[in-house]
Amino acid sequence: MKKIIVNPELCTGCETCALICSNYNLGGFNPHRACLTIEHFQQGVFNSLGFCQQCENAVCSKVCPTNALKIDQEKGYVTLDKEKCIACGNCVEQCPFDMITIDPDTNKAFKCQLCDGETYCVQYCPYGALEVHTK
Amino acid sequence: MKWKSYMGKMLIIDLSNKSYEIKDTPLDLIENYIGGKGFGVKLYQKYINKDTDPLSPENVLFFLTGPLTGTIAPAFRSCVVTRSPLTGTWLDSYFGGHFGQEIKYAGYDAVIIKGKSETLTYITIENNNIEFHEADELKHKMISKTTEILKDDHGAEFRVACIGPAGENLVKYALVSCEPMRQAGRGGAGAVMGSKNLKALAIKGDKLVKTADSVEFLKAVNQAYQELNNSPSIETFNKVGTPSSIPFAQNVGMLPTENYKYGQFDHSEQLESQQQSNAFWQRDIACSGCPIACGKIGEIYSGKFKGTISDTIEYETLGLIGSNLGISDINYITKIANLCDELGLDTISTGGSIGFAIEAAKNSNLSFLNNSDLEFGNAETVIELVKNIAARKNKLGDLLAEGVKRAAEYIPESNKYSVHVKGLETPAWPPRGAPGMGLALMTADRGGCHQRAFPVSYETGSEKWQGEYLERLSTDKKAEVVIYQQNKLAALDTLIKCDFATYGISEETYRLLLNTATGMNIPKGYWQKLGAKIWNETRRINLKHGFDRRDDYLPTRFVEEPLPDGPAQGHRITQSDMDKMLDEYYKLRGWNKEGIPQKK
Repeated sequence: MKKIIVNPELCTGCETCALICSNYNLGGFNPHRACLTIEHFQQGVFNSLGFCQQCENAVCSKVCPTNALKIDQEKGYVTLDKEKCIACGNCVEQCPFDMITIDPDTNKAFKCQLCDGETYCVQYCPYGALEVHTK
Repeated sequence: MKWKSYMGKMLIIDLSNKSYEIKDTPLDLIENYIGGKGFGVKLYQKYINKDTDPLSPENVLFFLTGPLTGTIAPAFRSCVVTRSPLTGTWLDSYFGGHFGQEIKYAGYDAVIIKGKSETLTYITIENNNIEFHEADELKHKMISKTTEILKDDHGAEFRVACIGPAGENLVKYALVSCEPMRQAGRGGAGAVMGSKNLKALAIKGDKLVKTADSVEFLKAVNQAYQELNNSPSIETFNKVGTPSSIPFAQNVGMLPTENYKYGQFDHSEQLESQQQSNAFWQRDIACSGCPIACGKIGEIYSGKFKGTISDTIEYETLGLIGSNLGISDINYITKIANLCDELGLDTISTGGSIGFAIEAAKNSNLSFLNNSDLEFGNAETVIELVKNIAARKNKLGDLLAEGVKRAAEYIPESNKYSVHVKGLETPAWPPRGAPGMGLALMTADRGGCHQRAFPVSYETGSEKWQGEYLERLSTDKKAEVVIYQQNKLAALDTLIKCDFATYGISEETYRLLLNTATGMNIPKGYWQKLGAKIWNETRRINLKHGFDRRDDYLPTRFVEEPLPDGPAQGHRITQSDMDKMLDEYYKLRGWNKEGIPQKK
């Protein structure tokens, strides 16, 4: 499985990752709507980024009643079939990393799927703070 | 909305009756004035009269965005427009960070604030949910504490713009702080907020900023990234930030020292980047979507001020709080800058006002200036003065809170060393060895400002103007350079650009970014026309407020005292130099001899 990891020393808090994420997934820019999270501490001295861990034994996939969430070993991440999602919220509730939300516009689960392998957040980070880690 | 990347709405808040309305952003405003400063000049004339007292409920605060604000396009910001209580002129003051982006995410192109609350208030804006809150708990709270309390109470995702005690106390150069540590610093917009009893705005939204052609827009963004990557200036901003200008200013004799008396500082090495890097820089910090990261943030590692959190001490602050006050200890300068940031004071005007006071103490018999600690290099006294200014404590603090121009009116014969243009304390680029910079300060629409035009690089030989090097101390061609820069920067402030990014991103790329984001078809050559139109508008505004040619001159120090040091030693900008440049400038702008625009 693959996941995105961050070198917090290089993160400037510019939120470029979240901007490109929201644009790729939702067709517009707003870092709050990204499927990654950014918290700023001490007025920006430190930033903490949260990414979907693409868990080997992903609990989201276990609690999904419609099989919309699946561990895809070949692709290397937990896939989401939006057609099947009924927005029950089980995955949101059970994700230990709070990395799934129900998107307010689509009313479907929303999680990181590595931009179908493109990982635009990694590509666009101007400071090289992000990379794809293969477990 | 016909044009993408705009939110299509403006939020208009009236503090007097705690009401608001949401209006469509007028299409003709967008099509003729793009955003930011352009919106500002039109809205200003609609809402603010020629006699509007800047600190009255009738003054209006405009928080304005541009079409690219909130997108991934590199380095776009936001601004506050209002009538300045410091100068009485039009005021546009710019800030980076994330607050302006959040205005867009909440669904607005602009937030307009009118009226005055009876008691201290703050406003939360979450999309269309606007709430007014009592701010007793925030009264006289420092900037970082105010921000922290509001985030604790309403959620960390809210972005906060607020004033400190200086704004509440109506210090004429109080700033509006937009977290994290980005300020609409100049001209006293914080005092306008204070006069409205508005302590803070906290804003958050979940709207998307959508572009017209995402594929082409991202191509333009990549083009901008490439240009930034290829620029040595941008590399310098990234590595060492604006303190890199210290050795340059010292070498060319333009580092303000002891209330602008000198152009070189004996201890300038102490102000260079390495000193603050050693003292507190831990990591780079950037505004929303910015690949430059000019900011360096950290906590002072050791000594008396250990633990003080600071962003880069910018060149302007190093100049005005450092050399201009004769202070070379970077820990003290960082502490003083931090105090200004926390109290909500513009460091440029604060340094200018204190430098003036120190010189006045030497030259005046007034009892409240009779203080032997008032001397250059005394950092402890400066710390006390900064606190007193913010609190308007005692005669001196209260007087300096009015700025140099008003303080000089009170102290006999002090005009010889009162340094301001139109009431705005000048920046750390004193112009005696660069007449074009003098003209830039003389004609800047908000008073003595270096951000409207900055011809220094053309004057000191690091850049060619139309294929040839300009003679540094001559007035020739300086008017055309200043006008070109003023027009370009005003036009790009409709977007609203970051000043530093313009060192890398070309005018053509800015055009592509705008067109692909909005769906407009702005032609080549548009920026100069748009900029000229805006300069005519701000000129008309200032004329209505009573400013005229007589206000377009430099302070006495730069005119009558020859520069005592540096490569331009012995030079000054004479009355006839100024008249020659002004005549040429007005003519090229299509203004008459009195500086009045002739064409509608």
